[in-house]
Amino acid sequence: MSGVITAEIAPAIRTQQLLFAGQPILLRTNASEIARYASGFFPEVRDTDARSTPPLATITLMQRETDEPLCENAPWFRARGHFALARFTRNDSFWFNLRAREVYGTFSSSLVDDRKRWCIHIFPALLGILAAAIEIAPVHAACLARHGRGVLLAGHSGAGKSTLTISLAKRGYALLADDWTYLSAAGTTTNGSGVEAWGIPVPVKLLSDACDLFPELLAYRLGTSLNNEIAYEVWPEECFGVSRLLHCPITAIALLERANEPGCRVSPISADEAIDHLVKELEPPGESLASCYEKQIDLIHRLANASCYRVSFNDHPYRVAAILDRALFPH
Amino acid sequence: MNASVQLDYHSTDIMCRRTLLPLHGRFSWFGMAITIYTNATAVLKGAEEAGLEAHSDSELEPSLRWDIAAELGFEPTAEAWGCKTIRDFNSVYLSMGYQQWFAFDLETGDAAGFVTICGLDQPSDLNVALYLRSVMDSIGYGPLSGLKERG
Repeated sequence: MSGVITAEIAPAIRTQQLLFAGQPILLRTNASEIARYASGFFPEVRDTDARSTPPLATITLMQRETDEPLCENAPWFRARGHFALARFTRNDSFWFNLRAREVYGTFSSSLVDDRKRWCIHIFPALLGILAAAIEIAPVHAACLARHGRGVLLAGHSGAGKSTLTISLAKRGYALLADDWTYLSAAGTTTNGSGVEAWGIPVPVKLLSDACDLFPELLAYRLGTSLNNEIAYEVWPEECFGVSRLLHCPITAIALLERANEPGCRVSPISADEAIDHLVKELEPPGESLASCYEKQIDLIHRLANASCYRVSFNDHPYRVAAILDRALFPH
Repeated sequence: MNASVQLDYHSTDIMCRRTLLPLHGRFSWFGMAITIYTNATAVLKGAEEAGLEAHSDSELEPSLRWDIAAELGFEPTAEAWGCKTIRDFNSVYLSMGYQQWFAFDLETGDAAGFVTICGLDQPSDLNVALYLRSVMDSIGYGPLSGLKERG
């Protein structure tokens, strides 16, 4: 057995206080590029009061000084108790102590230049794992807003969240998220429910056949997404000319389901049913983080005043979007 | 889960967080009680080989909790073994190959990790023994003893 190798890490050279779903986090890094990517990805804490709030988590991202070739492997994630590990390549790993609200990543200089990977895969995965520890509930739902009112589009994978999201965005809805939306109690001063929905600036993911619906996609190349799907991952502002919004209150929830019969039917359902669906898709973080999980469930239950619908459809997403739009905004 | 499985980090237990650990062993290390929960007999055997002393005190006695999940797979042989140690504010992280790790909380003494193994029912396993030896070499005489001194 060879001796224990201790990683040689240069000291952090800069810190930034940033926001994730309205919650302050502290980023420390010795890589100026990563600091720049983070500034473009996370909103910065601006007002003085928020700056005086201690950060809820510390993320330390350290570039190793040794120059190593990028050694690709499929991403690999494991968690146990309040610890987790995310590996994005053989040499690039991110460690989590969720009790202590700490993330520590070390990565090769080869990864530093890959801004797209940081913004599409690494930052979102870090946040998805960290969320439970900082009182944020990731819900498996797209989110859009119109006239300051947000709607969650929930549904299992393949239900059509992303295509309906783009179709509604083309009708003038502002887009927050096409797959995962983050609920947080932060930033709810104008919202009676005490919960706000937040998006993160990631591309929308559309499967290869979506180019039949959206010919704009033909100008882009298919790639392999983090979950190994062959898909278009495009910036919606650039590809479709739609607008983005960072956060909004939620006033409606639509549960999407594919129907066998052609057409689209929107029918009211109870908030309990919609909330149950969202809770079931929330991943329990484990026994040692049970209190965090309870807080996440509480955040979802704060959506109880939303108008809720079931949308059963087997139709072109533009028509579904038009019907849903009329149901959400009848006047 | 292997690399071919979908890696949506939000899907149900894609991180193998809830792998059942039906076995446990009580150990002491210089008077400090540690309970290791695992799904492989070889982990409990390897703990003894790495210097932890097995004992059968009451389960009601407070102890540190170490969860070590074993997964079927292959990792470097003894000749190629290496352990990288990273220390953050409240944590020590050990990386021993792509699919093996151990994380230790400096404040609570609790820990968790994953190790690869040829068969879950095998009474002993060389890779598991090396893994636990690395854990005790890295944790036992530094962070763990520091925790003991703090009481």
